[in-house]
Amino acid sequence: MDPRVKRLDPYRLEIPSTYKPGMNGRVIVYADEAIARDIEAGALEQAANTATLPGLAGPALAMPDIHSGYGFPIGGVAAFCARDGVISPGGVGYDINCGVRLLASSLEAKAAAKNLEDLAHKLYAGIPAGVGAGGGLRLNRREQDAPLIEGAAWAVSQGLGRLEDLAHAESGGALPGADPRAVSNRAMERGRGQLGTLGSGNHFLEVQEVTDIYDEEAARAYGLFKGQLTVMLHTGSRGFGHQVCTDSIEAMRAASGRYAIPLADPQLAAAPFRSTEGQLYFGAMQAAANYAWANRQALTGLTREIFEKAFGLGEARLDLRLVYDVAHNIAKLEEHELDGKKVNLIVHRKGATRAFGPGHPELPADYAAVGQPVIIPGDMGRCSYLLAGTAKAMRETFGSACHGAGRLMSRGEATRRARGRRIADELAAKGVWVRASGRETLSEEMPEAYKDVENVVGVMAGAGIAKKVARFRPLLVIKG
Amino acid sequence: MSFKITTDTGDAGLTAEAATPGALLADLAAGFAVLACGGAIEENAIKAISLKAETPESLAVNFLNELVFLADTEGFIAAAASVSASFKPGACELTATLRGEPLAFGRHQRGLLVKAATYHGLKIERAGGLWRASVVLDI
Repeated sequence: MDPRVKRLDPYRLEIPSTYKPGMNGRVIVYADEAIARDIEAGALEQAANTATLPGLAGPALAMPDIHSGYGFPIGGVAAFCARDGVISPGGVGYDINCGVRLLASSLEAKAAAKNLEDLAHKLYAGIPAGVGAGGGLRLNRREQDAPLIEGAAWAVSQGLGRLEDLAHAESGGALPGADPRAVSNRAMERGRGQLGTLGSGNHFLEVQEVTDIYDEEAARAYGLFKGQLTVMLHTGSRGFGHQVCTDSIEAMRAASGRYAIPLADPQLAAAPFRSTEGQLYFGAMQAAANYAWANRQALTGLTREIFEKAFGLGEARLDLRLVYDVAHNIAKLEEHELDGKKVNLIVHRKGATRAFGPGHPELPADYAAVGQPVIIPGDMGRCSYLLAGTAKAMRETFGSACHGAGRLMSRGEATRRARGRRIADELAAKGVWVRASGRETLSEEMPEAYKDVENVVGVMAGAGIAKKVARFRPLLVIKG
Repeated sequence: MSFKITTDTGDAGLTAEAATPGALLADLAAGFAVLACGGAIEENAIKAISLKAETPESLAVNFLNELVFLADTEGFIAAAASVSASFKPGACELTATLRGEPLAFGRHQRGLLVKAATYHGLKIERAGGLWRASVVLDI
């Protein structure tokens, strides 16, 4: 670790604003000694780079699942003053509103065990996943604007969900400022047949069992109990969002020159938030965010249908409820308190999850007393977590926490270490049925390729940014 | 044909070297095909592309993003690319003829889903009489 990076306390490091020229503030890195040992130097450099962008509010932040990205690191949070700060597509990433949702059934995993194999085959056959997978909802050009504006509500209107789902999605599953006119025809074309598809890489649908409850009050509010059968779903805005980002990076590179914004990395290309270029990106990004919410909602509808068939139970008996849906690649206009004053900030979370504490007005009434559910997927062999946002997160991290375990190995290293092994059989021996359509997906995504999520979550809980509510073990995993 | 696939990050990269800008970009296209499906593609269909950019780096990124777009919207992967390109500063351009076919998952492997070509660590340079490119792809 660079000697200029100082340890503030057992859970936090500081990169001072003198670390490199042009920094407008310091960076706080949430990491204990063990996590800090695994952080790449390049990721810290990228975290420092985010602090060079104009209008930085408070410190830039890095979560314990930090690893190298493009421009911003994955696991990076940076807020900029809405009045005179910037917005950067590199602070959101290519998979705009990549996110996770958690569904909880009325069933106990033990009682459901005899149906799990049938469920696994039905899910693998019925959830469109992987490169070039068909099966998505095909909309014509006229129909395409509706999901971009309405988000998850559009999928509900198509019979792919329940009205009460919307209250349990971050921002109600739609951002109000989406502007389909700011979206290119190429993005529209990429998005046309991909609604209701999982994608590839680290995206997944996982059937899980609740193994531990750490906070009875929050678990009760979220409707969780030990032994419960749950579903975790991880996907985003698919090719639509990827193209919005590609288009925006090109536009922002030109804008950065026009507004004389110094760029420590070309992928940090940015424009003033209030500029025409900034607002065009913000409108297109929100459209992509809404596409992602519509996508996760459509997959939820499909998942419920498959569960009902596999268990031979009706919707009411199965009661596969949406616990919550969180975005983890997004820029949002939020009000926060900074130096005793309320300010409007454009908060970039790239590989980071919103984690609002109890009482925040954006929380649904049934969760207001316990804080926002923060869904943290681990890897396909170990476990995942549900946390709850805290008041301290509002003070220290703009209401943000980590988003997952964080990658430990490169794809190449994971593939080399998996050579000669049968990853699916190894997981089956641990009681996890896993299937992927890609030729190398299981190797690249094997559990050891990721940090142990226990450690990552331990830092968030230790630092008081989020509290542990429940732990889940994987039973079935579908990957692209 | 001279390209190499790098997987030393959570994503993937392509490096290539060639005598001319056109051959360099054709090599990147060949590398993209291997990443996307293992590369066993037949030349059943033809696509034509023309692009202009200020810099060789932007031209390479835009060219690869064109391949990403074709793969994502039509499943089209190029088995071979004939590329004529100029890296004249301020006025870079290319015309390319791509020969390939749409992916069919009985015949082709499912490779990596490339989201985009990025400017991260991007290098296009000339050394020792050869053009060299290094591009990172978001997976």
